[in-house]
Amino acid sequence: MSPAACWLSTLAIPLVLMSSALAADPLPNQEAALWLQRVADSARRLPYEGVFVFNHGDVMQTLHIVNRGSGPLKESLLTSLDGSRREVICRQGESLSMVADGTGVRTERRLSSRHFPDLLPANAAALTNWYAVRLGEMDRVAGLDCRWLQLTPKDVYRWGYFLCAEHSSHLPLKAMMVNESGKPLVQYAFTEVRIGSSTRTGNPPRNTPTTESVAKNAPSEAIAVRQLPPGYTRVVAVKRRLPNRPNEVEHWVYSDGLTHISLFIEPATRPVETVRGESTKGMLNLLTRQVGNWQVTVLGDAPWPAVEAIATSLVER
Amino acid sequence: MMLQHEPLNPGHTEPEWLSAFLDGEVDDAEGDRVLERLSQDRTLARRWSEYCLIGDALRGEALAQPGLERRLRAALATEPTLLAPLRRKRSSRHYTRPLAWAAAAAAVAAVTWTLWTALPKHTAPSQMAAQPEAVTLQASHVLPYLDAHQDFTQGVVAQPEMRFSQVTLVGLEDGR
Repeated sequence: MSPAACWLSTLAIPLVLMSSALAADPLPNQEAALWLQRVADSARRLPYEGVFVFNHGDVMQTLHIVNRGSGPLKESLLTSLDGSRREVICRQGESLSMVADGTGVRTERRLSSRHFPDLLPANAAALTNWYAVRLGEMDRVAGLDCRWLQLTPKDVYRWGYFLCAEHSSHLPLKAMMVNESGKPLVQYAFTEVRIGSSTRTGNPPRNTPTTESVAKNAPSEAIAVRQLPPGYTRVVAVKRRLPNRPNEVEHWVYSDGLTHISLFIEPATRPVETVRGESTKGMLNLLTRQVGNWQVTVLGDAPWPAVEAIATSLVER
Repeated sequence: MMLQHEPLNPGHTEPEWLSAFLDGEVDDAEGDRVLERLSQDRTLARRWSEYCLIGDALRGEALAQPGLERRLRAALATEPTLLAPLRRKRSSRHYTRPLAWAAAAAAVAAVTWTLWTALPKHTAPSQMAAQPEAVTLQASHVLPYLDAHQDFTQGVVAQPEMRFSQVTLVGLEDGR
């Protein structure tokens, strides 16, 4: 059996578990909130070290992860184990990638520092407003016992999730984002993990090269969104420069805590065609249109109704 | 034999259950009833074939078929498409998706539509040759957005493959 086929056959197991999870009644809100908060806290606070696999469409990647500290001192280091050499340091709300390819070493600064297994927001309890939570069966991932949790969206504006939380620490060992039919869009799974204090000190914290900040605050508020899908609030509003763009672009992000939808606003230099885009598996949806004198692009890892709702609610101030 | 014209599933319109059938979302008994009606009702059979064509067109598989445009336009006449603000909650979510897909496909077909991938390493699909009119959004314009958005998604490095289609916003008085 080819490695890819082996991987696919291991993916088939949780699909079976999903159906048993589906049979269970949703947890009462208070209990659901408690479970989600435990899972969120474990990923943010526990030190752990391991290797996880990331799968999206035809792409599969293996990454080594070390997570140290908690709160403002939290720092994690991701190292790709296949393809181009890439290291990502995540701390204090941003991340710095170092990519080594044939042409040398490139650094990229990013505005966020979230990654598997830290998938749930700090205030995870609030997710129970938009997702029904069900407890599934016990399973085994990376040699550890874990309990499946299913988050089913209560409306059409977000994807569903499955998480397998380690039975004592609640650290997610496996996670899946699924579409409305329960088909996986993105999957993560630890293949090995050590939870608790790391025996290896790992690389010493490096001096991160100082690069020009990618973004600055103070949005112009040229555009207003009349109505947002339930649960979405604006979590980011920055001006930034993007490659191949003559002008600064405003980048806003709307989120319900799990789903993220970006809004890019820039001056329309000529009439803008209304164009819809979608990724092969439908996970990402996009709409570009003209609003007054602006070109606006709405892009999210969200179902089309959510992107459509925001894109059609835009007005020029 | 008299034709049965009551909806197969009370509360759902004909396009809805036909779409559901097309997507394999009805049970065997209901599926048999749909097939029986398709064999007896020519109008329904035509509609069925149009739905199949829309599905094929959406997947970029059927653009070479003769008479496609005429048939898609016929389908369009009966499927006005709205990219509308917040949807009302429907009584059954089961049927909303297939209809939405058919409607989206019709919107796409209203304009000359073009697909390509945002990954520069891929060559443009053959549909581009068949349909010379291209929409103005360039794949290279979208890549920076995808990249910037990935600051907030949890995929670590993946570059998704995208396809694009020109659509028409219907029923929006303001905005332009």
